[in-house]
Amino acid sequence: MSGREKGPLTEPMFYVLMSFLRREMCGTEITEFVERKTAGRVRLGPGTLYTLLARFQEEELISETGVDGRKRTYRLTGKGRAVFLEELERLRSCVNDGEEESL
Amino acid sequence: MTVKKPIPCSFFDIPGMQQWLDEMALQGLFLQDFTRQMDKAVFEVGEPKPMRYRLDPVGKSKKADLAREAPYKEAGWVFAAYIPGAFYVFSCDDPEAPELYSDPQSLAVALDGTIKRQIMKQTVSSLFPFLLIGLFLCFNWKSYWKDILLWEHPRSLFTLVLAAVLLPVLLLLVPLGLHRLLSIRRTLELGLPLKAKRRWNRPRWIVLYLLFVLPLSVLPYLLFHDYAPEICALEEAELAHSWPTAVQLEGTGPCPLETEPEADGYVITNSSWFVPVQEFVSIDWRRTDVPGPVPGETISHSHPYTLYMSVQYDRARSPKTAQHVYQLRRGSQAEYLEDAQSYNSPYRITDLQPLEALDCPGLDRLEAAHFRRQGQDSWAITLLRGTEVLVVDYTGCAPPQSCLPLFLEALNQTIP
Repeated sequence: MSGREKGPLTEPMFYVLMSFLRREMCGTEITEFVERKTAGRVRLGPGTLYTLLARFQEEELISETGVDGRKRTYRLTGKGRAVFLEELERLRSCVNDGEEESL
Repeated sequence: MTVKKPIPCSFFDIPGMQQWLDEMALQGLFLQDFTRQMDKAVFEVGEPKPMRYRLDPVGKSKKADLAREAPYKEAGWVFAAYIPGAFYVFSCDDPEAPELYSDPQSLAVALDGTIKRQIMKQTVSSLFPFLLIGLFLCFNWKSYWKDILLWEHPRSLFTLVLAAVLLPVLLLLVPLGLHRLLSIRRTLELGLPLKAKRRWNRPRWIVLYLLFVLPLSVLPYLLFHDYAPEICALEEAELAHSWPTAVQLEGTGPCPLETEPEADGYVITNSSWFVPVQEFVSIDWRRTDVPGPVPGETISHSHPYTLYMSVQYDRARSPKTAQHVYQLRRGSQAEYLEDAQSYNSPYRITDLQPLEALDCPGLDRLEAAHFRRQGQDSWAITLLRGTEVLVVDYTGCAPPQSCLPLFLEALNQTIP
């Protein structure tokens, strides 16, 4: 169990957590990553992004690694990775179930 | 140039506020601030252009909120105004810029800060008047209790009752406001779009003022007197009992009078549901002679002095009520005696022996105090008999043990 008790992740939450899998990131980089990854389908508004970052920090899914002027960098914690993988597994099951039924 | 416009919707009607501000921008009015009373928005007049205004809920700390301003600006969103304890208003004139909150669920998460602040703010602002009223009642309960029993200041009583009725109504508005916020959050959590509520399109404070505040402020003045008792001259008063005269009172003491001195006085009457008969009689008997040691003889006195008597008589509806009235009247008399010792006037009293219980068959309570006023012996008598309460303050030579039968006799004889 990941320990997150607030239900499944929303799409923006999922992609924000995903953005940290390879490296630490700042806000602008996360926005660019998500837009690039989803080919513009998911666009993160600044309000959404910073609300999610604050919430993830509070839930200890990410932690701040550095502040350079206005730029703040975050990394994924062990708990955050577990939450992401759990969500990934859930989504995989959903996709599998849907594919099975649609064949 | 700036113009002010009344805000036609609640601040918690997020889509309503946003739509209205967007429409104002299309009319060339760009939000600059809100008035201190938060009833009007201040707009800067300019060339009409499409703008997006969005409400950003306040966060857990002001520092964190301020840290957001720069990245918001980078994304095209500029701070416009602040709604204290609720939202920041951001504007954006770039149609390509992403929405401030690109998904409703994140806005629901962000609303937690506003909800917490509002719960705190509403709780404090609603508890504060209760605390004030509680403190006020703590210090003034005797005066209100007196007004309930004796109906002396009905207007202040009415104001208190009005406050007691209106406060719970105001308190009902608090959960209603919070309920609206919680319902907005629920809708957002489900990913559903928010709908704007109906606009008021009128200056609401003036309407509220005209409908509620004005009538409630004027009503007590129209319906109730500030001071209910009536005052009249001694000769005009129709009293329930015929109280002893100076000759009768002094006749019981060591220095009886031969002739009835000229009386000067006034009467205050009042009536309440609990105490239908309330009479206060104040009499000065002015004399230029002092009675001599031999009965019938008087000695000329160069300094005129005054024999004085005040009688407070109350007849309550029940003996239980009379007990409460007795406590009030006795308390007032004791307080007066205590305070009058520090008067800087001829009415200053000295040598006070406070009220002490005396035995008297047929009476429920009897207490008497002795003191000196204007160099003369004086007495205060408080008594309770069934539904009747009597408080006498008397300056003269006759002691209470001698005078009391006269007052009891007067109580037994009702003026037809």
